[in-house]
Amino acid sequence: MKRNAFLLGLALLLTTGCFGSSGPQLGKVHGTVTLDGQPLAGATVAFDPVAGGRTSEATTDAEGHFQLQFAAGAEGALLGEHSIRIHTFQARVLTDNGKVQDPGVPEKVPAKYNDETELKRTIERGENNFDFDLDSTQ
Amino acid sequence: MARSKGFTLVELLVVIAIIGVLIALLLPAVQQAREAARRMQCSNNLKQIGLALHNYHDVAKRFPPALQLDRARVLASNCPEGKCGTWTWSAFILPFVEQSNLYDQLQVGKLAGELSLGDADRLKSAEAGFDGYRCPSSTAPELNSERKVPAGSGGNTDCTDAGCLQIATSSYVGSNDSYNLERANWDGFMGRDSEGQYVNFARVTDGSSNTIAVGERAWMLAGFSLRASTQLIANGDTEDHSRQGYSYPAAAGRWPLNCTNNAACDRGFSSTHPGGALFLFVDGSVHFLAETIDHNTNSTTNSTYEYLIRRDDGNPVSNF
Repeated sequence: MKRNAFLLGLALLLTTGCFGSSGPQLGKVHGTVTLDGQPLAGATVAFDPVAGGRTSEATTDAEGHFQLQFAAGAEGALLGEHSIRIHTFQARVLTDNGKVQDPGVPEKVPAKYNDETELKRTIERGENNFDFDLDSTQ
Repeated sequence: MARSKGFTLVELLVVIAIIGVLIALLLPAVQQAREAARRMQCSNNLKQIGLALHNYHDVAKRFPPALQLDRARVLASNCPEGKCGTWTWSAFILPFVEQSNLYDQLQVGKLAGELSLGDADRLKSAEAGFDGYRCPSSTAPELNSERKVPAGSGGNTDCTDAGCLQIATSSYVGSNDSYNLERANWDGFMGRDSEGQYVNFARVTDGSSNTIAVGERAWMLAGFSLRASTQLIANGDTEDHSRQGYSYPAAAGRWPLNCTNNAACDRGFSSTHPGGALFLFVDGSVHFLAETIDHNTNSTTNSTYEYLIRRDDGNPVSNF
């Protein structure tokens, strides 16, 4: 009996430091972005916490799929309500001589999904899946 | 039968187990202490850079530009990227970090950057660089193989071919703007001087203790290449471009601290210190900012991180 207690204590000691998380509580967030039914590739998806804190961002892949990253090695976003911006804009890059180095990407997503966003989602602990079906016709 | 003197096997095992547990507890702590020591030296390097910037200001009545093009060539507009080497802030403050001999040898500001590197002896000095510009925590190699600089007649625009050479890596980048890297109308601490823009103490209207001057950039973070910075010289300066000059000596606040989810994260601040990065403020103080700092990445200046980068937003912040 005493020996069991000793072994249990030893096991507990050996696992010191293995548990307990550093940093704030995050919820994993993934989903798909479509524009008029077509998957939207190369779009930046940004979740801004309404209560303040660090924005979590991701870029959509060819299938329009994204997975948010909070910081290096930390997937997800802060818990709570977020306001969401989705945009494709990338600025045109000119060289010092005025030549076009990179033509950039125009904004395909209407302002109601980025600069004047109405999109809001609440992130909970664990896995969160949000699909955004954007409409550029109205 | 008398019990023989000595330890039983069980006693020995118990002693070994206890010693093992103690070592297991101690080892991670030792590694933490080593990183703490490296971070302290890194912070001291930034402090020295801060003193050098102040001394530069005493002499020049302004802070150094992030990078400086050769004026004659700017006017003639024949300084394409990949051909022109530009002097950066880390070269201008050399005399104030006791590196006057390096400053004189390279002929900082007198010769164009790529012409200075055209000479074998000067190239050797630029490869050796100055140790105070390297953070001991950084995993970067001595020579920056990912951000090359033009030498002699130069190379292609992204400076990836044989016309460009590797010089000493730097871990420190100046703070340029609270949003994208800007050539004109930047709102941070340093930028290109050829637009006639410069910063002195009077223009840091948020107060020197509320404005970031210089920060860190990692070589690699969580397997994602951020490519650190170069000492002394950078490539020509296409605006807001990862591969060309402006992103070498300067960083901007569009990209979150320690971000690794976007190819352009190598234009922001980052470090391998766990949980954040060290920043030098304009008043010469060095602070560790956590990566969880309030930071909204949209185009308006509306979060603590952006307030700290921008020198004139009217929002001095004290709790960061």
